[in-house]
Amino acid sequence: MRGALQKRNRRREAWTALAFLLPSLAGLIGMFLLPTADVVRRSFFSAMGNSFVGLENYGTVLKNASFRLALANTGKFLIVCIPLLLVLSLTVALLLYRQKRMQDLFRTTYLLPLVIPVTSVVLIIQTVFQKNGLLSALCEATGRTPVDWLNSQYAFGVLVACYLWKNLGYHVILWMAGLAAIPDSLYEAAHVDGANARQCFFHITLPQLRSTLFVTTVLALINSFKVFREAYLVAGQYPHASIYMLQHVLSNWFANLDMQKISAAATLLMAAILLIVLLVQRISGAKEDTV
Amino acid sequence: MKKWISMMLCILAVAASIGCGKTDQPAAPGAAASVDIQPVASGRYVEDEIDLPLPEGVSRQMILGVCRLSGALTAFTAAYFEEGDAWGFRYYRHTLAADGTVATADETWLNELAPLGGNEMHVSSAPDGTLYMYFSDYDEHDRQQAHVLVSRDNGASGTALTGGGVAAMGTITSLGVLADGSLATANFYDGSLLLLDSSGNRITDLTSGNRGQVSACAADGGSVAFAAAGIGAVSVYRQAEQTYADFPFAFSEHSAPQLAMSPDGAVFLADSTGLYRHAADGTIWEQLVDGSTSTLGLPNFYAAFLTAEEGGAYPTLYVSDLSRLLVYRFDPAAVASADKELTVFSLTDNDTVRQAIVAFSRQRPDVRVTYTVAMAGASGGTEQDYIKALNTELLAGTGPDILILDGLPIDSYMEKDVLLDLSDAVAGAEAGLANILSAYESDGRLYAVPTGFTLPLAVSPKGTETAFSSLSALADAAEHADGLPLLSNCAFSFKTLSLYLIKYYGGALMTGDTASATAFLQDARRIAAATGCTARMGDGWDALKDVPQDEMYEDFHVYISSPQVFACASGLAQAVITHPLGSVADCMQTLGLADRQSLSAVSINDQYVPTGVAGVNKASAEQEAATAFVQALLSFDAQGGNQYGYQFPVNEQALSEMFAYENEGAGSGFMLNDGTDFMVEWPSAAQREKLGALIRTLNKPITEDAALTDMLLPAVEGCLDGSSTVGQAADTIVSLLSTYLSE
Repeated sequence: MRGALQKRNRRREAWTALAFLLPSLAGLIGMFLLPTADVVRRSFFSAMGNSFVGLENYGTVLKNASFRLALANTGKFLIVCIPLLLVLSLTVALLLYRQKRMQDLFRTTYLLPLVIPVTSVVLIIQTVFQKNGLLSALCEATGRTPVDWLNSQYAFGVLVACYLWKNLGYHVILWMAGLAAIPDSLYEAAHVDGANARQCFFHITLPQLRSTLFVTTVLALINSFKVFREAYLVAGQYPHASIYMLQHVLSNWFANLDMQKISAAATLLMAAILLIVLLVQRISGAKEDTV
Repeated sequence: MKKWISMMLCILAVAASIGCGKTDQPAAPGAAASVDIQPVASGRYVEDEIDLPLPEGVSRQMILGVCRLSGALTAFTAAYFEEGDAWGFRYYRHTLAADGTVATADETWLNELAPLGGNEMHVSSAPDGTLYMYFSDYDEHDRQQAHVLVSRDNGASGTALTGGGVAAMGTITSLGVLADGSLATANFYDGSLLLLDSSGNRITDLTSGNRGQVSACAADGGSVAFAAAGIGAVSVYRQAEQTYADFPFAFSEHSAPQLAMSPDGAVFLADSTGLYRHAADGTIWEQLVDGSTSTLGLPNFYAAFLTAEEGGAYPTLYVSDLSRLLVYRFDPAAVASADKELTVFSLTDNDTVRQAIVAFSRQRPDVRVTYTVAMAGASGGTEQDYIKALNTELLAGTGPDILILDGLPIDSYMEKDVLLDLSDAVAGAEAGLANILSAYESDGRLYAVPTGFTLPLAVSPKGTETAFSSLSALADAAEHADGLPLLSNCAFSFKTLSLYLIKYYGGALMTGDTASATAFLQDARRIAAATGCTARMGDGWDALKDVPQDEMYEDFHVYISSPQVFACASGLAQAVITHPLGSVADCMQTLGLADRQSLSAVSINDQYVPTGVAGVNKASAEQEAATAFVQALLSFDAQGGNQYGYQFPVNEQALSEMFAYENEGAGSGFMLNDGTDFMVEWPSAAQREKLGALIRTLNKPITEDAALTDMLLPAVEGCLDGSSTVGQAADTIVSLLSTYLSE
């Protein structure tokens, strides 16, 4: 009798939970899962979805020089930017965490670039890095040749700098939240045992920040794709080859109605990102088990 | 609880039925939120055009007004005509008989009383047949002075009204005659509406309250209707009661309204949005004709007169601008509303499409055409945004039926089978220029058709015509020019020269190899050096030093290549390369220069720029109507009659008409600050014939790709101004092109 009642209650709870979940679930299905499924489907069809072409689109995309250039640039950007951002932001967070005086002011200052609208960021980049911009003027004043920073091999550096400048503050805040969650008792016990600052950092701080590392890495990964906005607005559809990113090729393909190529490329990308996230999750999770 | 909920629902239902029910507030057509237009229940107004014959010796005439006199429709016109070495001015009366014949005669009283004509000339009539003509000219102090002439004997003789009311007015824009002979006159300068007695003396100003800024008026019997912009309404002043009734109307920002009244007190209004009627005791404006599917909405039509005949609920209406007289008759048998819809899409507005919509709507009342101009207004999106939005629709199968492909990725649409084969549609259309219409033919299928084209011209000394056949030939000719430079730098800076070399000779770059890019840049450098290019257009020219760069750019690149023509005409350069030209009028300066200096006008390597390229969406549910619309786009009705357009027509008849058109009074030229000037007349018949022959030899469409030009321009410009070497620039171009081409 009691078992049947419990079963009925559980069922009622399940229905209630479903009712609450339904709006967001409907949104998720309608706005994300179905379009994703459609993209995967289209990756096996011709441009206008008329005929099945098997894996031909994947072959075309993987052989496409633009896609490979964009993939290489995006990969290079991720490899350079994500570690750089994580290390820099952790360093700043550690410095700020110890610096109790004016911590709020620093925190706010670091966050400012995040709230500046993209158009303003683009204006700043152009004012500084254009051929006739401030940096070139500085070069000229010091007797050097002015450089078109955005249309030369320096463009990649400009984009990396822009990404770091924009995202540093946000990641500092994330790290500081992680640092605040570490109990002081661990450090006190370590000091009693005679541990120095370096040992505390490597044996207490870093292991305790593992879950924060996962979050910051995933967010850094996601934010790194958003840098396309700046690259697009600064240098247009066809920027210097070094900052020609995946989103450029996808955007240009869409403007040319190359839906079959976008679908194949998007499916490949989706799989790659999923793989990276799982890998990061596994690494952080596996290490956590060993703590 | 349930009772409370039921009660609340009842209250809501009652409130909704009251709130959403009929309102007593009169509606204002034109304003999206407040439109309350009653469709005609059955039948509809059908548009037709009345051709007024040209009097002998006259090439063009302007319409001054239309009225019904002694039962016959009568139109008044005026025209300039050649009188020996001088120009004369005459007035004419065209009487249209019921059988359609037109009798044309001189209008004696006007020829006597206003032999020189004037501004804002209008002729109207009172119900008793009295004729009025009002116009303005300048007095001895160069002030505008209004005049009103009256003929009470059907034009046999006339007099000028000399009352103080007329003398005090600058320009009368509109005049209505009341039953007692008093005149309601709208004054252009202060927007007042003066009531004058039959002698022209002021009685009163009818714009009481804040009704000011009257742009049009009409009168009938004892009522005066006027467009009162001050209150956003058409006001009707009733003379007997001295009262006003206001009918709210959202006036178009793009055209002034014209008003007419019928004896039953109904008010008619015409503007670019359509033709409307408001019954005397009614509360709403009824749209009789939709501007978007009639001539009224054409960008080159500006309603100047509106006349309503007597005749029941739906009288015949006449609307005209200075050259076209339209008649709107109610046809009870015509289909009242369309049962099909065609959607036309273009990135920017296209006059030929608008004209075609009118022509098509006349032929196919069963089809309603909706024209979407993506980049109209200031919605803030970029061209790429609109293209992506369109692509989304195409992928979803909900794209427009007809695509005007200018600025869209035509090649990609052709490759992906988005466009319908138009071979049959073109075969069934009126005769057109085969060499232009076949621009987008591939694998035996015609994917799209240009509705017009523009033509870049080169004017150079005889014997040097081949200099423009390739970039290397041009570079050789520029380097080896004797005495004078081949081209002048007055329109070419490093940037503008780069722009034009990419446009006209950039095809060679598309191989994407370093050798081609290097050859292009080397030739471009030779041309820039021989032309004396610098970072500024016209550098080193005293006469041009005060002319702003953007103005020079506009003169050359947007209009008619004036700075280059000036340089050549002044003996400072041998040749001219023009911006793509779109009409005989556009070619005036270039052809005039060629004639004056005995130069040859040639095409640049047989190239032309297709414009208004139309394609039909293969997924369209209305393919039959869509192909019929393409035929309408290629018809004389859509392409003819515009001698000053921005593109040459592809319709044979329209092109012949353009080349046959004489405008003897026309001149084109310019004067610089230092007094140097250049003036040419309308191209002669021989020049026009030569240009026509040249057009038939064109066979290479220039596909303008703005993204590609933007991409290559900095590299080419950088090479010309010396900030990069030919090798560096070539590498940059190859790198950019490899990305572009491999996509």
